[in-house]
Amino acid sequence: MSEASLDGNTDLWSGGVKPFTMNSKKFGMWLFIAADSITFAALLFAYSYARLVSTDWTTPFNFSSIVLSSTMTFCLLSSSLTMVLAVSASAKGDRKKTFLWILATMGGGIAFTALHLYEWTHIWGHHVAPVLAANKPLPMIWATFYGCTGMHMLHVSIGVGYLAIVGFQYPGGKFKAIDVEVLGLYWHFVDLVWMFVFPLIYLLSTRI
Amino acid sequence: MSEHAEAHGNKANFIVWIVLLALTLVEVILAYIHLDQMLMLILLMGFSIIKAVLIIAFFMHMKFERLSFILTMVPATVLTISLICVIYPEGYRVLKFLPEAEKKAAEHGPAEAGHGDGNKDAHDSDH
Repeated sequence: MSEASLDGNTDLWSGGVKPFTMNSKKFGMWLFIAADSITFAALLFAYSYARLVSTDWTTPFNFSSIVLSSTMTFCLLSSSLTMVLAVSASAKGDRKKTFLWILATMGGGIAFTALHLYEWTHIWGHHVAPVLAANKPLPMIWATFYGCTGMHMLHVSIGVGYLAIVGFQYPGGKFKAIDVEVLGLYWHFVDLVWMFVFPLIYLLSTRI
Repeated sequence: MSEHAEAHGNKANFIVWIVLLALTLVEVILAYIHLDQMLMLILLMGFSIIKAVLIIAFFMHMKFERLSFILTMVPATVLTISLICVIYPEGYRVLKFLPEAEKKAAEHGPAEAGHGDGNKDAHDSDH
């Protein structure tokens, strides 16, 4: 890998210089994260604005819902820890350990998705389904709930697929440590978004 | 040196994980305390921002990146999100005048209430 030296070379546009001395894949992932954070900010803004202008916003989440969503938060936070340990192992060149930590991260992601889908079916049965019935639009509380949590669950599911692609091929030598680091950035971003979704949507709507 | 650095790094990550779990527990407890909605919102958002900073700084390693990178990414993203939030005060206006608009629609029909001007309503109303 060569880097252009700036000594005596004033042409910064001649190429070969890394912005912020960062790997281009890593920088690309950071740019994606910045853009996607705006997407989630817009969704959460839509939810909070709809709630702000509403005079009859219900608080539907009972204790079992909060326990379930807290367990989901624990799964995601733990999977973030295992992902950090995977990145650490890949930096040391330990491919087997990296694979095992990535597998643990996948387990956390799959557990989160399974619990979330169970939560959805529970809400589906007791409140409203996430599909439009004829002549009956979804109440705003459920439209925003399914919109925000659905978008997040989509990201988690894609993340599990991404983990599988890198994780299962990493021991064979297909990917490098930087690829595991970039994967880690995406996974931590997904966890980061949940840190906002969980309090805003679940904790502010607890049924006491 | 790398093993010591690694152990130190992993220890920091474990500590951050424990802190994140503790903050989450505090948030869940807060949800069951009878607090003013606005105060609870401020506290929950505050804790969420702290958790986000911990994840970005330690798990995503931003603390160890170049300052120029941090100064490029963070202010731009924060500013863009803040610009979205500029619309919130509009929500308070809608909340204040929506009941009057709905009342007019009930009395005179939807057309008249739909073209109501917020300032005009404020001027015309007794309060």
